[in-house]
Amino acid sequence: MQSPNDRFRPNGAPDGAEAADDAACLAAVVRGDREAFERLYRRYYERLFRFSLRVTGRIHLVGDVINETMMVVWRRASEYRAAAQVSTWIFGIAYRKSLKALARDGRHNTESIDDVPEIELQMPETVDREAMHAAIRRAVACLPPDHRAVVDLTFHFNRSYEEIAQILGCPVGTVKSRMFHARAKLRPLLGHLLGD
Amino acid sequence: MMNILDTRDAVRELLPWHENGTLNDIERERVRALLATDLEANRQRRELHALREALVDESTLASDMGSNLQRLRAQMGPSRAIAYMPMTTRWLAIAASAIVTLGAATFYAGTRVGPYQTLTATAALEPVAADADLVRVDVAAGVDAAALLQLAADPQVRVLSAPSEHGVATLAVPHARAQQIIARLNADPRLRFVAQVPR
Repeated sequence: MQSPNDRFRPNGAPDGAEAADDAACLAAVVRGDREAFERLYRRYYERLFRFSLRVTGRIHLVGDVINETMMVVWRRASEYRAAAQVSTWIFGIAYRKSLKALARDGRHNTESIDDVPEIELQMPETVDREAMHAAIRRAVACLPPDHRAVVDLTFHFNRSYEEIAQILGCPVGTVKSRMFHARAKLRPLLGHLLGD
Repeated sequence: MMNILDTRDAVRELLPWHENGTLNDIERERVRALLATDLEANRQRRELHALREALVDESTLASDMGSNLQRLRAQMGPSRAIAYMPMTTRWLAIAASAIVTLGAATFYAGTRVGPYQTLTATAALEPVAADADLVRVDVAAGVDAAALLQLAADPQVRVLSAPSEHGVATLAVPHARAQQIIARLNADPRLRFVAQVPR
């Protein structure tokens, strides 16, 4: 039975057919098939762009993160184990590359959600849907990178908490804890927007 | 009471994944049961729904795929070759290359010093008289053709091939006195091996 939320699934985890094709492409990559590799590249480019941008918050890092991620896929395809989906494996690589790129970049994002002036988090009594969404996205962007990753993987990429734990390389409890703290930070804004 | 609150908190933790539809059947039922009775859970669900809508609604900014792919192709090089093999395969490939190289080197080295010969094998030699026997000797360094003739002490002995760099030489000796000549040669400690070989 489909969830009522299935209308939000276009960016989500791959369906069975796509997952099977991912696995077939990766098997071909192990044999050195560049065409299969570029097919994976094209399929994942937009997702990795989005995910890396969300984790790093810095658009100038994203291109390198994607290419570093896919270079690992090219070189280490034989190390993939079918215990996780190919997409989970690739996202896991992208997460680690994003954090490394962020560390290399050095300049820390000083803006945290706690630093955003209260006035900017407040919205008029009546707001249109787009303004409300923009405000929420801005607040999410101010979360720490590991919290942003959990929020985005859950709500944009429709990943289960087990998959997120695999991608982030942490226990399920840590995923839930990060989500709890992210929600706690977003709650004032969300509560205000929803009139609670 | 504490247990009920703990349980409710644990179920509320599942709300984000109830919202994205990835819970299993048991978890989904637990969340539904909570939502049927818990106002706070319903409030949180509304927040999560708004959060999800905002993130899904975000337009993707992805661009420059073509140039990024071009850059990656350049990094990947012209062919996958050994560089992209897993470690085990890579080591096997390196070992195989080393063996082939060593074999080729040995082959060409052998070609330079002439065909491989054993002490008892017949070499390509100049014609010898029908009543002569061939004797192959392995001599120590410093023993040359003249010394061999002196040791053989027979005017009919001929040196067919002087001691090679490995000390192997071939003599033609008269058949009638072959055993005596071999015995004389064997008596000298500088000759490590003396043997009659078939013609």
